[in-house]
Amino acid sequence: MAIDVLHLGHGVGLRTSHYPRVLDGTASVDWFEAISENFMVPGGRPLTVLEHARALAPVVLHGVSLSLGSVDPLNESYLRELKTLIQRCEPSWVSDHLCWGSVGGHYAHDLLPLPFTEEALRHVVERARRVQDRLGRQILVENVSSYLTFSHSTMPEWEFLSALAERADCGILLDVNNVYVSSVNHGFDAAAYVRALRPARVGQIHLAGHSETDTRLIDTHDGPVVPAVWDLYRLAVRCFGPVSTLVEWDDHVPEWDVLCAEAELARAVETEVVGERRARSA
Amino acid sequence: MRALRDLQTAFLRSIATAPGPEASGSFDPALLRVVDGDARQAPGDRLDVYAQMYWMRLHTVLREDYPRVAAMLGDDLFSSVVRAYLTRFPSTHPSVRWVGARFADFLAQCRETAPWPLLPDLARLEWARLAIFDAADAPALRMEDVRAIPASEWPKVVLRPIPALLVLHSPWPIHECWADADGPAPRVRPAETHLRIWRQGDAVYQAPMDPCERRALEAVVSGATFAATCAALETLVGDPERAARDAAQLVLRWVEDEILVRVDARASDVTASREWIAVPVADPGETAKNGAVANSSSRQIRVRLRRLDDRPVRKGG
Ligand SMILES: [Fe+2]
Repeated sequence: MAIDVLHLGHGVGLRTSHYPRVLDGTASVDWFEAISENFMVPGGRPLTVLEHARALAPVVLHGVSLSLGSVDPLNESYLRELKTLIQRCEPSWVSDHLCWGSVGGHYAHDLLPLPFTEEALRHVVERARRVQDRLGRQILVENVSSYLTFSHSTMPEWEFLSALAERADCGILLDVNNVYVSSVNHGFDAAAYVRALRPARVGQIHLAGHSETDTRLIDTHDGPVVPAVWDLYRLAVRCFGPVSTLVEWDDHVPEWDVLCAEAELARAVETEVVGERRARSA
Repeated sequence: MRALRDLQTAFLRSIATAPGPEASGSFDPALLRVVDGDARQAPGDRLDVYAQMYWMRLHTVLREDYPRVAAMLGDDLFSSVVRAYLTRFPSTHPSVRWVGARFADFLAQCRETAPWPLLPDLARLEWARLAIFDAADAPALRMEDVRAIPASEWPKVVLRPIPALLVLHSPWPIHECWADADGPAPRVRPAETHLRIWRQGDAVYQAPMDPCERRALEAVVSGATFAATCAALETLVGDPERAARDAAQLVLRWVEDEILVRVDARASDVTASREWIAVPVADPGETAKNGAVANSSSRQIRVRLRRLDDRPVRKGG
């Protein structure tokens, strides 16, 4: 089994600083990724922008509040609103994160880390299935950057993510920047992570910038993609072939052209690697 | 602590009990025992990354949602108030859009901000503006729609406000504080204030209402016919002719602000018989576009008046 999504090319996140270009129709890009929660509102400018974005390019929905790993019951009203938004904007696919963000009805508005245990895996598999049932479609689940690990984890993150994808029959949104950030923070081999995933499960890739402190990397999405992450992306394309790729840039968001140049860089890397693959197999 | 439920409960309690730089004082020791540490970073340092992100994210959201309140209190006091708010009212909605939903209520009970009695209402205004920003859309009545309504129909016309309209009442001139809240607390005297806040295009506007406009808008909000709105104004101004003229002028102003939609009146809605009906006629050449936050009270609007003696208004039944 696999995740059944199209290759949309190389897109960028739909962010407020570029709403004017979306509205005047000059935001030309392969595809947009919209943060679902930003558009789960009754009306006004956000929904107008979303309509305009859809007219320009395919849109996918990327959620941050599903709280897939939470022990709380699934938030039914959230799922209903998400479903309404899905019907409204017909995204090419829908994604959220491998994390939890709420417990006891209290939301942290963050992507909090899970222990990689069989108990947690069973729980997340069950929740992912129920979400997919409720939405009537497969979802993609993204690996997050993390700053701590739990001593009772019994498997590496990539094993957990792969098992989730197979057992829940969902897809993987592989954030190669997050893989890199976590690999530095926890001292694992980022390449091993990428190589461990089954290509047929990977439906999308995220690229982003991060920042660095004395002791750790932080997933800040506030700058260009660093060379080490481009290398990891190269490896990902080598392993998975062409996959829809999106540049996330959320803070100090640059001019539209700079943002698009980053997406074009990703396209160039993909073209180069796919060319190498062809040459080798010829 | 290994069970997922215990772990998540302890984790969130650890980072959210005392939001801010001192959060680590509330870390659960049992949780720290299952967090990996190494030579570079102890488990507490690692957990503190999440605690500081929790604080910074929500603090930032509230500062963005309540910029005027933040400016009035200054950085230190605002942070202290936000810390207390997040402890008292942790977020219960998946979207960060709703984190500040109870901030005004909290400020009303907050001892630290008691020297700023207008603060809760200023917060209500900032929250109302956010609510209006992404309130539901509705096609507003246009001037040409108004012109197309025959004079004989006016008494039973029912106009309703668009969803993106809110009315706020305050004993303080909060719109003035809103327009001028970058410095320290201005010396503000109480002044009975009635604001309408609305969206036109993508922009959010607000304008103070005089007693006439307030009365008429209340009538419109309650679903009154135009005739009933005139009657409501008459109780205020005494003179039916003036009431009709004022009502017509208000309708034109509201149409220009794009805050009205028309609903079809049922005959039973029409209960008031009016002797006078003022037919709103706007002269496009004489009307001015809105300013940034207020409507232009000096707008010139012509109103054509006619007697309706010979035009009985249908009564209910
Ligand atoms: Fe990502």
